[in-house]
Amino acid sequence: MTQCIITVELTGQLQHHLQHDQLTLDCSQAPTLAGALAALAVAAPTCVEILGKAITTPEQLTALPPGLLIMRQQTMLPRDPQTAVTDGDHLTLLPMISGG
Amino acid sequence: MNESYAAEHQLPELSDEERALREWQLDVRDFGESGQRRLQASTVLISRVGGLGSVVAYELAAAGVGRLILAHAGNVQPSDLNRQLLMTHDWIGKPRIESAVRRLHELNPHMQIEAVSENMSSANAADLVSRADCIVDAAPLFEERLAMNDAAEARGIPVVEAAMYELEASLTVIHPPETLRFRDLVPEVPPGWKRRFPVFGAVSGTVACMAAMEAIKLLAGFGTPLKNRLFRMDLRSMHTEVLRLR
Repeated sequence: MTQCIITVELTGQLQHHLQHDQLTLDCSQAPTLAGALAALAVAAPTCVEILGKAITTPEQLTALPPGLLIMRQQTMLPRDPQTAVTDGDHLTLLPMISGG
Repeated sequence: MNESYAAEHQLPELSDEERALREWQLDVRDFGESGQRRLQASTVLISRVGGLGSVVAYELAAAGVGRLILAHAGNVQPSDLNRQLLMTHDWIGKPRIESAVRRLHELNPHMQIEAVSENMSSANAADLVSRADCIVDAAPLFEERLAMNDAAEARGIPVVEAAMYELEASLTVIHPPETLRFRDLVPEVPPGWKRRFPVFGAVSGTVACMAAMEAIKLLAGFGTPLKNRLFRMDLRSMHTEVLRLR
């Protein structure tokens, strides 16, 4: 198993809800977006409210939550949970926000 | 702006009063009198005139857009007044849309305003969208936004998407097939989104001015609109960035 430690920057509702600007996650078991979100859900279980479902393993995530954009190097990643992440990645999680 | 465009499209001439009112912007590079004539001949639909839409509408009225369609239901509530700058304390309990029209006409009495006392929905989106050259989405609920974007996509009308949360704000322009579709970003209503969320009026007002400028650029045909790019700012740290969507 290759080590895959990533940093996720939290924005919008995720930042407000979890009260953190960023978290470090270990995705070594599944170096994918599904693995990253599963690791986030384990590290911060209350994010289920934003992610929409309880996730404890990457296999449980068959699609990215609607309205959650994930950026790497200022570019949006494909909405495919199997998109690979690599050790040292810095991802920005952007839940879509609204007017009002 | 090419002056021949205005003549070719038989856009209305500017009156002396119009020139006097807009003289500070008529000298903007690539805009000029032709750009002003295009604005004057344009219709912008604004979905809700709350914290975002109020300021968008006010800036477009100041810029001399010819016609606004405003869609917003309900009466002014005390909690509106931290950000909805077209609403006033003396109007609490009265229709928001009437307050918006009253305040906009104080600034620009020549502008035509179609006031719709309903929020956007799948029942009215196609009709409202069909009468606009450009749309600004300033609504809080994703149900409204999806219905309006579906209708706009079907008619090929660009949508300026502005949003805010706490001290963050974002902005992009949706105009498929040149850009991603709104449903590529939000396939369905996101889980956990709440109608009321934390925000300062200064945050919604800041991104609203930028949204108004995007609408002006789209209508007048100059500058580089935020197509396939998402502008994002966090006023807590004053961090700004432009992200690539495609």
